[in-house]
Amino acid sequence: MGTATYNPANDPNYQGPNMPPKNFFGVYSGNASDTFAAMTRDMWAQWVQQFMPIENTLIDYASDVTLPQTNAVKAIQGVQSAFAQGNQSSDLSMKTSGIQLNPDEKKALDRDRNLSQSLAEVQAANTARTLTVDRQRGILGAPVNTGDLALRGGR
Amino acid sequence: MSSSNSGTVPETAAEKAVSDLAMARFRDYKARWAPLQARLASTVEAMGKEGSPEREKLKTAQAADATVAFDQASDQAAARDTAAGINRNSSAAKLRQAGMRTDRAASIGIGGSISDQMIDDAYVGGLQELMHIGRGEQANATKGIGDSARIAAGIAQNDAAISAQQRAANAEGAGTVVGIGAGYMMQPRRGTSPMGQANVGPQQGWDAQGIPLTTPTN
Repeated sequence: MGTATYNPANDPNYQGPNMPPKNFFGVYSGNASDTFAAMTRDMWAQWVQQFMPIENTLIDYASDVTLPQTNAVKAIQGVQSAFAQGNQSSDLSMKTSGIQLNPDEKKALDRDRNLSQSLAEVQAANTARTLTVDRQRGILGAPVNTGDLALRGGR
Repeated sequence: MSSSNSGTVPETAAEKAVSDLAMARFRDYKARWAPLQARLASTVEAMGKEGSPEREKLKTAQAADATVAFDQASDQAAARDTAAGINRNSSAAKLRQAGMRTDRAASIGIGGSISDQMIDDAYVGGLQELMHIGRGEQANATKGIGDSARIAAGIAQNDAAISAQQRAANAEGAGTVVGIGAGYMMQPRRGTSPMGQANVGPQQGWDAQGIPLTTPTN
């Protein structure tokens, strides 16, 4: 993912909750203003601990310029894997069915497979890239939804 | 509000109750809701990881759907060939069968990529939902700052008011003496300014010449 974002653990100026002392009944002592101030610090600490990491994850996701390409490569690898398995399965099926391809037929089938695989790779990569960029822009608040076009215009 | 000897104003029972209630509510949130939100966050985080069960499940389901659909279509095409008397060992029949398997591989490959993207959508959507909750917490924290400042400001205003009253009370004796002298000096007379109205008894205003209008006494 992208660059490191704010982490309170690395901030020397960050002050923890610093709650006021509790009395015998477990109620915070001090006046109302102190209690509100302490609770505000506690709420902020809670937010820093629980939600800031999530926000950082989203920021990293949205600002990672390599992610669209990474996802495109993953999509291509997925298609390659599917074709490798599919071709193997197809060859095995023809063999068990007693179907033999002559050299010309084999050449035509290979051409068809290569063409289909290339098209599928391009389409999968474009779809993954476009959807990833859309998602990143969506996080930043400016969705363009070109991914829908990519999906509709695909096959 | 009541003043203490130190000149500061303790919070009212209502302010104390509000602050205690707010603290109790926040402690309740931390005890009951925060763990649930943390669990949801870890679930979303795990789902987004490479090779997560959700990703594999969706890809497998999509591949199974494609396999079933293409197998049915292939069987139907073979049946049509047989009905039409086409030799299954002919080049056309063989290439058609192989071609359909190629199409199936393309469907599985592209479908797998889209499945991956759908999981990414769910992952980012889940994080954003969590952030909506988190922003609410942040807003509450910010509101807490406002509440705290408002109460502090209120206490300061009351302190100032009490201080002013105390100082006024301390100066009351000297003020009374000075007031008597000033009142005498400012006693209204016919044709003069109406500023000395305090010493003219029951008064109902001034006439057009600035002469106080007093209630006739019996």
